[in-house]
Amino acid sequence: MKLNNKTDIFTGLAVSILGVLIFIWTTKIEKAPLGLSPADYPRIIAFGFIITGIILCIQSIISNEEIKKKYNKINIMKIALLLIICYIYIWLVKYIGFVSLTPILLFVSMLIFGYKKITISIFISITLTIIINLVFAIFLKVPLPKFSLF
Amino acid sequence: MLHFFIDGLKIALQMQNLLYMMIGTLGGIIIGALPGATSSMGIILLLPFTYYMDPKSALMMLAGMYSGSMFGGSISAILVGVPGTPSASATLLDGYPLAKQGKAGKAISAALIASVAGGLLSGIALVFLSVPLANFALKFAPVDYFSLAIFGLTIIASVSGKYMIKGLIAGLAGLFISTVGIENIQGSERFTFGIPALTSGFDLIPVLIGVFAIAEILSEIENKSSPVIQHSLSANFLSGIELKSILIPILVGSIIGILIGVIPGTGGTIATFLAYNELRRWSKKRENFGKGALEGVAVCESSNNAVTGGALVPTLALGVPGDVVTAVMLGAMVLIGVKPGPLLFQSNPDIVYSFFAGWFIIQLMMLVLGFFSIISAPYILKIPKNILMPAVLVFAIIGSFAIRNSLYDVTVAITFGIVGYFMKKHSFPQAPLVLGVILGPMAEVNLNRALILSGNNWSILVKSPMSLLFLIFSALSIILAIVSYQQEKKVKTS
Repeated sequence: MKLNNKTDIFTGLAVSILGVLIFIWTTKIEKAPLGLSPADYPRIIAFGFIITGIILCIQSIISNEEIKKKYNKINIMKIALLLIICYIYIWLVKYIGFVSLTPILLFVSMLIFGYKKITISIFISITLTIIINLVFAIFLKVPLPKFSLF
Repeated sequence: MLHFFIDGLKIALQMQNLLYMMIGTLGGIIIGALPGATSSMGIILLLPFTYYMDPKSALMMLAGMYSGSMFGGSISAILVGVPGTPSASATLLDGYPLAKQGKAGKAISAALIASVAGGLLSGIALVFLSVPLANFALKFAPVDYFSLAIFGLTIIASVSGKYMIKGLIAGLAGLFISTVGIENIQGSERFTFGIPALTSGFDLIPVLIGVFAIAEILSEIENKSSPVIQHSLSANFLSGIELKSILIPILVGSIIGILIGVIPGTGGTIATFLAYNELRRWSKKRENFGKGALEGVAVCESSNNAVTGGALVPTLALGVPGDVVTAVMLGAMVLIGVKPGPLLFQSNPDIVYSFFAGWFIIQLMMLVLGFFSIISAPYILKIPKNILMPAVLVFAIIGSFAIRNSLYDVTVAITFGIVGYFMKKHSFPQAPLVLGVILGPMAEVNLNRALILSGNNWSILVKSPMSLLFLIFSALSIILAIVSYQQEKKVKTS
């Protein structure tokens, strides 16, 4: 079985299972005396999920489409690393603050994207953070997270 | 009426008013181009400056902010694939591919001309058709809104192309995402799994930023090629043939934009997708849509800006806001001492007509100010990708945070970025997911209201002429999409 066909079959199955799960999750929701019950609308969607999931499975099984290799190990590692850094950033920024943490995020992302001039990337990271802080925190009055560790 | 307009024009052409309008328009373009900074945010920011101003000048400055931000949203959508405002998300479908082909300047030119034309045409509607259009809008019942939302959802069939089932799954996923949180009518919690943050559901902007911007950043890690850059200035402007090719899209976009704009509670995002879909459906070059068609950019931007004038029709004529931004505008008007409604036209014609005249001047100002964004476009794209993408990442983070000042929204954006990345990888179109998130609540709430009002009588869906019309359009829309897909398939195999 070809790579994309395989993933499409699994996706179709997952979508159908999600549809069934939505039905199960909505069983506890109380019915409304008039109009749609809060469970009705998600159930219509769930029904759609089940049907389209099955169709996707069948389509993938009978399809003869040529599939190209989709993933490169190094790139996937880079993407995973960037995402982990983003989640760590979200977790830490409320303690460390936007101004202190964003240059690090920018610097590391530039490294992940393959920028090799360290001095320039440090300069850009700091300058860009200051500019963004000026625009959003000072001018647009967005309360960006501040250092609050102590 | 004409003498009122001439008097209004005299007021609008006063030096200080021209300056205020320029500040508003320029500020709007900048605000619009920043992801996460919305038109309503821009108007709220301007509001403190208007307290001590003459109401006429204040209104013109606010209108400049409104119009400018609608165009500004397209700049970031075209250049870096991040829609500055939600209504620029349809512009991205063709604008960003154009930028990748080295036609960013042309795309912004088309967006600018279309925005100005849309703004001017909606201004004409605002001046001459305010009262009849406002009355048309008032006749919209919940059942009509529901059918309009269904009609909007049929767009999924045509934007999905050969991946129809995947598009449907993406659309259903969008609808499902919109059900997370507290349900609007009964107030029951749905799919929150005991997580407090999920009770407020998913805001549209973080989802939009995630699915389009973060997904694009992740994909760019794999993409080693750089966008083509046009070094000659003239290559950034539209040729005569290109200009001619966007005239019909502008007209289509403007008409749809005005009509959608006047219907309260709809807004630019729905209008742009509807206009895009209608133009694509009837275009002879429909295969170019989604790959970098100037017509696609033009139709979206004209409808986007036509919504501004359209949404102001019920705001000024009835005191009923047409969308979120005009709701903020309405609040601003009350704060500066202007009371919108039918009496405004009789009691304060100077305010109304100077506003109308100012509206046209603002569109022309936008043309001049937007010119600089066309010139600067290639310079932004000259920034190496390994610097530009991290910068876009930080803008995407700030953009999602700024909506509700919440880090939860940033988590939502990053998570939907992963979803969007895998969708791209496995040929699931992303636009249907966003459409589902936008139209889902509109469909559910209005169907519920219609059923409550009719005592659970489902025949209400076909009893209302407007609703019936939209449902027929929906059926035709799906049939046409399937037929045209089959025809394309036949042509390809033969």
